[in-house]
Amino acid sequence: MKIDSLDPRVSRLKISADNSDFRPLANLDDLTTYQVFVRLKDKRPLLHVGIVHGPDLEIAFMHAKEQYSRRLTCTELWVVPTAQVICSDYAFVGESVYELEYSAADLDNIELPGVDLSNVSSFEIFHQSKRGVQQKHVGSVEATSLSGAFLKAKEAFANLPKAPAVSIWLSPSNAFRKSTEDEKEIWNMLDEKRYRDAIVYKVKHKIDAYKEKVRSNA
Amino acid sequence: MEALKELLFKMADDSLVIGHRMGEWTGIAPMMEEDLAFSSIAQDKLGHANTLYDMLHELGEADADTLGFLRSANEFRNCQFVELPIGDYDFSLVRHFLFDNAEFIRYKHLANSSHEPLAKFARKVIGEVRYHVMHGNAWMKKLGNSHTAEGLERMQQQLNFAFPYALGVFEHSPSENEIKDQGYFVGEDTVKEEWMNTIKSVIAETKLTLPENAEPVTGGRKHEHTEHLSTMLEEMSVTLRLDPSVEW
Repeated sequence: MKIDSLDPRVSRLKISADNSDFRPLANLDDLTTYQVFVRLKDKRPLLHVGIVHGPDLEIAFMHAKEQYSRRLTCTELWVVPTAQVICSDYAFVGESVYELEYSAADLDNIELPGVDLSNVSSFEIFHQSKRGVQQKHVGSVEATSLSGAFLKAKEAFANLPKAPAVSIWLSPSNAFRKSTEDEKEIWNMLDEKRYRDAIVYKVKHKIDAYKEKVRSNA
Repeated sequence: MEALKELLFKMADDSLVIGHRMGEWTGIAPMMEEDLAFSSIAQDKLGHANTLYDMLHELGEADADTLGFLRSANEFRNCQFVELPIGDYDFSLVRHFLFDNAEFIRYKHLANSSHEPLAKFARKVIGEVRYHVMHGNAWMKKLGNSHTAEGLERMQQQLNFAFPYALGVFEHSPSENEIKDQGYFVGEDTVKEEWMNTIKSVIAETKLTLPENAEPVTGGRKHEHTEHLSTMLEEMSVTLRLDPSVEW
């Protein structure tokens, strides 16, 4: 059997090797982005790990599982529509985000697309301890509005022993797709997928042996 | 012993063939995230095949590479469903949904197999198969509720086409009774019954309907295959056959 190319698009999609029959696709309008949080081990906090695309929350969760929990370990995964995460401004270095002055009216004017606040009873709160690091889940607060959630978060989390948070994210708890206790078993085999990590491929001894050979021949 | 081997062969061959088929989407799936998820599922399937062939090797058969790559199509016992070409993504997703729900139920029962290595293996990988099912069900519910007539029609057509083949997954193999009597496995009829319930309940959440009075497409468990299997096996082993003695 003849293989024309190792590019799967050429051999399987039967596209000409010079790409001359590629046409731009029409814009897709039904995909949106979701934010992903992972708990690596029990008792560690959930950390923000990145973004996935998806046509809905459930499928975004399925994508997030393979994209963000395919290495190391994982015991819990949360996914939330990006539009339903409210991000604060940054506080200056050494200052706390809770000292930023937000009026209740300003906060409650922020649009949360797709959220019916009458169904919201709590918010998840995430902290960033300094610029450039991941947002970390610090807990949830009972509130029915954004301003209420910000106030409650200030009471609960402004005085955590760690350095002051420089930014926070707030999101209605019921906007998340959270993995259930039952679903934890989908990560059972992660430990046996070490072949996904570059670090398990030990080649240094081969390189050293090759260098030695070259040197002794010189 | 022959009955046990028969069970292991049909499962291993199913896993290898579906794994290879799903892997054909690597690089060309409709979106990047889906490419990654489908490829990972394919990789899991190939891993299952590998372990099952190893189990057969323990029982005196050739090693996994020989069993997987160097047998001819008429020695395979996979169901015909898994060997069909990948088609468009709608077909591949419908097959993934129908086939993996059967796998999940199969593995749940195999956790109690009297062949301890098989029971242990089933308990170990059940979580992987659970994710495969979650992924398949999520897409089925999404696309089975498509807002466009074309979307629904395509899904319904693929379901109509795939369903008789899916029923063929449960074709009895020659030693079916002994497989059950020895406690290796609960048997295809039990799996099929539970599978029907699951499939019906997912389809009930969509705008699709299950075809009625579908006749199973069988033959795979008796070494009868479509021409697609030999083509696939040839492509799969083309490199190895150049020189089977090479060490990798």
